[in-house]
Amino acid sequence: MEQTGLERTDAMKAYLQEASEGMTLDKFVERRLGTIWTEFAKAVEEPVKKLAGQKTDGAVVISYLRGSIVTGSHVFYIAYYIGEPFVEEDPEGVYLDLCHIFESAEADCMEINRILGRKFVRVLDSEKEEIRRWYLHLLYEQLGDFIKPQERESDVAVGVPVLYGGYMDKLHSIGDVGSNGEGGLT
Amino acid sequence: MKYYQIVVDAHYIPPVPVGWYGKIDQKTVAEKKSYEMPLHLLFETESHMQMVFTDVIVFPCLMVSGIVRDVVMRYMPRTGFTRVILFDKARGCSKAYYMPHLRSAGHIKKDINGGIAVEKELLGDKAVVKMDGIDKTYIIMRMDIVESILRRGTVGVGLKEITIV
Repeated sequence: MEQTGLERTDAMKAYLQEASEGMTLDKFVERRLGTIWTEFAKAVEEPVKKLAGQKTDGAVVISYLRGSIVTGSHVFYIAYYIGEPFVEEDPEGVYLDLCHIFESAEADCMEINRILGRKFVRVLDSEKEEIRRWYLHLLYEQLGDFIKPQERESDVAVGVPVLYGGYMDKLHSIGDVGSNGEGGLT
Repeated sequence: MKYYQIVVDAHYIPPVPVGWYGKIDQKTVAEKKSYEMPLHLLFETESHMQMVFTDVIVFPCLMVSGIVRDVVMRYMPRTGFTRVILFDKARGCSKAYYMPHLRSAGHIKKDINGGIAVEKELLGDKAVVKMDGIDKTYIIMRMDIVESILRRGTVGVGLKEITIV
């Protein structure tokens, strides 16, 4: 393995995923998602409906930006693509600043650092930042799994599909928005 | 689309080559044509306990890891690179970096908040642009290439969002 000077981060991630005083990282993620996903769904609902408008084809894509983890801005990009997502150069879209929703998630990182301090001697700033980026990315990723498509009476899609995932990354369906504004995210 | 200035994140201490002046300083790199640069260079690094081989280095000039170089090549296939080996003698390890040969696209402006502002015409449709400031050069990258770089698990990449005017 190539040496970067951050060799301990893998051991740190493994330690956080094991039970450390009953609080595993999965529980951290679950607890945090439980508090932020409703606010998130509420925040994205309006721009999603606005972008879908009266359209019948294409897809609305809610994509998280890894760059916003780095800058700490927690900006999501919501765009309407006629064809394949991310191919269109200048799609109709909005940047949604969700910094206020992720304030509590940033605070979790302090708690995570304290847990790491119990096992690892002198946790470096670079290691803390790596763990922060990893944790926030886990949240971003699993936020899409938390939002389930609204149950429909039939399996036939009723409008424009809404997809979720990382920008320039894999996407999955989280619902659809009907041309009459029906449907959406639960 | 958003644009960012690429820096090394403040939480990381990147490698600093020893004896770089006259070889890879901004002026020498800017004055030489790409074919005048040696193909390979080797520098020892300053010793620092917390040093991390970050995937991007901006001092004394822009150098990127192999992962970042491959991404840049996908967006800008005609970019030339000089290979620079940075060797940490104290730890006995080294890493290969690649110095891209980029031409300056113009000068940046300061915006009212003290950040950086760039004219859209200067950026054109390029994914990576080098721009001159009063005291240093700036590397500006488009959001799509930045996301491509970050999704490959790169280390130490810092970003500052810039204003497009």
